[in-house]
Amino acid sequence: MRRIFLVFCLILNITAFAQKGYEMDFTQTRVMKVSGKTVEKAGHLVFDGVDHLSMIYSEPEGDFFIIEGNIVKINMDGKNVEYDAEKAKAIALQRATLLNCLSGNWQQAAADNNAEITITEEDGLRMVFIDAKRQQKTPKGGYVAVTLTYNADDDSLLEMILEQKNGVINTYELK
Amino acid sequence: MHRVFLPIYRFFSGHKVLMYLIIAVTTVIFAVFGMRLHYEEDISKLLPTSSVESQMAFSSIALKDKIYLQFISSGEPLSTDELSERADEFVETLFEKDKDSRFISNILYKMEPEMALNALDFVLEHVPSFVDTSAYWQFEQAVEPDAVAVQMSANYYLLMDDETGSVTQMVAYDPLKLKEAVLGDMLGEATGGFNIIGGHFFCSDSTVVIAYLAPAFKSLDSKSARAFYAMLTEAQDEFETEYPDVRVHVHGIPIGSVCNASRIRSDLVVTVGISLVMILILIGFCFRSMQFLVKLLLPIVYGALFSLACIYWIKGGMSLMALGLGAIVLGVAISYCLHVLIHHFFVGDPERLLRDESTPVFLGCITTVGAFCSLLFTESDLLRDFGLFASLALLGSTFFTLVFLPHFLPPRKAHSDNNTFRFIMRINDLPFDRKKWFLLTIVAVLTIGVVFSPKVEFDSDLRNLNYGTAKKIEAERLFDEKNNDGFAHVYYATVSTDLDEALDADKGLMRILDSLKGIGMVHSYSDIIPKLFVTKNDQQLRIEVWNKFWTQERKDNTMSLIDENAVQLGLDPDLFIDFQDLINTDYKVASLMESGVVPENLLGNFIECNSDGQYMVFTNVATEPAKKDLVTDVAVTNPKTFVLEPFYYCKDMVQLVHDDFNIAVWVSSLFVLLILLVSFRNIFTALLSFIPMVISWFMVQGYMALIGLEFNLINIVISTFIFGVGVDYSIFITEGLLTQARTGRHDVLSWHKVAIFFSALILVIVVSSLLFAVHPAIRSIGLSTLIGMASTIMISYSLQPFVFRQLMKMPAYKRSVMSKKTK
Repeated sequence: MRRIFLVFCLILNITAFAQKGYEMDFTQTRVMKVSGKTVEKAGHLVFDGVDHLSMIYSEPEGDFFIIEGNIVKINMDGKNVEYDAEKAKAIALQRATLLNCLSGNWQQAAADNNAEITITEEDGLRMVFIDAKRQQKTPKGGYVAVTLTYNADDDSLLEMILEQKNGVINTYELK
Repeated sequence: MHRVFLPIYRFFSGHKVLMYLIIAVTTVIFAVFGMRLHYEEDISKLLPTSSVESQMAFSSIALKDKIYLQFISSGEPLSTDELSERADEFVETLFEKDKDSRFISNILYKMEPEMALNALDFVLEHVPSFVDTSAYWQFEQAVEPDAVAVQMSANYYLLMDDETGSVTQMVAYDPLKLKEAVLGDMLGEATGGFNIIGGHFFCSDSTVVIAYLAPAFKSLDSKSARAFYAMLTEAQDEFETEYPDVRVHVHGIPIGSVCNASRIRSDLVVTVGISLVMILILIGFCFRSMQFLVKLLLPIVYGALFSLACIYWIKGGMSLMALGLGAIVLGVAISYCLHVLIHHFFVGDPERLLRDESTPVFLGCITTVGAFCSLLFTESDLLRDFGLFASLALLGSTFFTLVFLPHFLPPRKAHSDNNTFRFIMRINDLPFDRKKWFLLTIVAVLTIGVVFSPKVEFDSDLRNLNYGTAKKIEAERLFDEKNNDGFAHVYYATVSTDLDEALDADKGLMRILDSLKGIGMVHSYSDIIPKLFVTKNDQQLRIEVWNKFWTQERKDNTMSLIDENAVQLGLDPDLFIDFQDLINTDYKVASLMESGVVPENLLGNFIECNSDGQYMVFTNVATEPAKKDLVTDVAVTNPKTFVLEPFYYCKDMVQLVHDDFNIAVWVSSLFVLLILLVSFRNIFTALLSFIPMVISWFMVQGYMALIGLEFNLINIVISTFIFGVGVDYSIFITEGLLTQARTGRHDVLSWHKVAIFFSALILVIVVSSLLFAVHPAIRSIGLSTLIGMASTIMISYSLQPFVFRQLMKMPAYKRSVMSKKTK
């Protein structure tokens, strides 16, 4: 009972934090699991707490990842493309997962990705593991694993690790 | 006939109020019902129905009726991004302008990126449906241990170079590179061979962005088409002013239709305007009375209204083109009025007028109506409507001319002292029929015409009657230059109410096109449809073949080989779990058409379902222009197949109209001869009136052949007009000659000749004005009709009196002529 109450309070806390919206710098490390190749990136993130997110990269300059409602604009790896998430399931899932993770609605993110949730707290850090590997039924565009690290004191998101089915692991550190 | 019309005249003379009342009431009734007539602008209704396929070719098909928008730099070349932005801007402007009118159904101007993702998902979820049974020999080779080892090594290098994950994902799904056997260059074909840059369709050298606009209105809705074209042109002009660095080119069948219709309208305004001014000057100069013009036009207007009302009562609607052609034929009706009015000018007495004129006018009317009525027995709605309108209009105007018009011509002093008339009579009295050199010249001219007449050709290609503005021609040229490589692109469609049947028929078409390509008749064709849209039966068969191929043993062996090679290369075998899922899935039949994966505006390039529930599956074929019709001749032998080019069917249909017309000519000729025989009760007199008409027809054909003119659908129909006029002139001349022979009165023939002179002059003015037209169809009427008119007058003035004189030297004939009661 105490545990359920804790989780409930946690959800309330994180949701309250996220809905305020936030703005911060970030670094991104993309690791190709199969080859071990690493790409370092950095930029500035602005999130309105609901469905508007902009990740403008300073390194490499010109890259961006923007969510404006259902529209997802990506300019990365030499590709400039704009998707309407309502028209593409895979994009819709990636968009929803990202927004849910950033806004602290990780339960929904786990449900969308057909994943299990594990929460641990250690050294002032609260870690949420969203793991779809065991289910082996990750929907298309879904993540096989998501790790969210929050500051246990103020529930601010510190790190987000997104592992895609193709072995691409993106680690975002928020500063 | 005066025995009929004189009592009527006398009756109405005593009951003028009743007559005016009848005129007013009937005119109002005819006008009211005539206005209710529905006009058919459907070109398919103009031609006889030859087959279901040809009807389909004329029907509204979005693919056929799409409008091409091309965007090209007008000065310094713009980048592909800039051109794309301009295209997007223009499309947005168009949609904004169209928000109230809703003329636009959709514009395909870019490929949505989601489409590619969804399409890939759909293919992965239904892989066996897209694997042709012929691909399995490649599969067998691909799962051989050596082949797996080679491919896995190649995969290793791909994976090591991947920085984005996209290659990894591709390898994970397809480590054995089976997709090449499945898809080939399907994506390239799906985009119609265009370069897709930033989702936009570019021509091969990436200098032109192309967009396809599908109108929301039917291709035959000319009113909406005109309004849409005006909106499009306005948007185009405004856009080019705002962005002078880009030019927008527009073409397509609906644009062509609007250009044609606008040109015809403006040509008619010009030609009718020129004719009216000239006729007004002529009548004003000769008769010095505007009343004359009003009296001339009254019977024509009455006849036209009578005809329109009758057609409304008979069938409710008619072809607009038939009305246009029929309007020109009203010139024949003018001829009757002129005879009556000019005769009155000379005699000043309505009763005398009716005695002299009722027989030739009535006879001329009946024979001409007979000629037009023969068109009612043809298969073409155009000819039937034309014949009906012209016949009824002539009957109505002749009735007015003989029954009502004399009451508008009060008894008066004869005007035989008119200088103009004296001048005309002096010309008319020139002894054309007595000068041997002149007669010999005429005979020579006629002989040449008759000899060459079989050489005249009939142009059944309606494309030659098409008019295009300079802008439209430039747009078409640009599109051909950038996209067609000098080849003609033809769309074929297989059609059925059942999609799978249509797709099956499309497979048959593919086999034919493949054979044609093999012998060099076809340059290339798109075979994307049978690859993308697979019938349910074929899908079921393919799934069975897939399951037979991927036996549990083969699945296990293949996965073992992949895992072993992965481990040897230092790769995680789990990476290929997607492929394992792919070969282990239990697949079901699915419909790409109904999946919503392909957006509607793109789907329309492949398959369309019309309002009748008919599915049309399209195939684009590139061939040399000279071989186009030959390829089509073979392609349409495939069941349920037609070509999306109405002109192809027009050739056959126009030929049918031509054949119909030839039959009509012979039927009407026999009818005219019969009427003349009954009327004159003498074979020689009948032939005397009949032969000028026949000779003039040969003259028209001969001299058209000599000067290199061809008959076409329009001018051959109008040539019935030559018959009408020709036979009328002959009848009047015969009547004049007979009166002269019986009574010694020379004046009747002179007066007839004056009327013929004016009638011919007016018709020559009308016909000549058509030569000022820009539209080739209208211009083509002018010259052929002029030749017919000239030959008719030549014969009537010279040969006919000469032959009559020779006949009168035959005692039996002379007796026969003189035995008839004099008037």
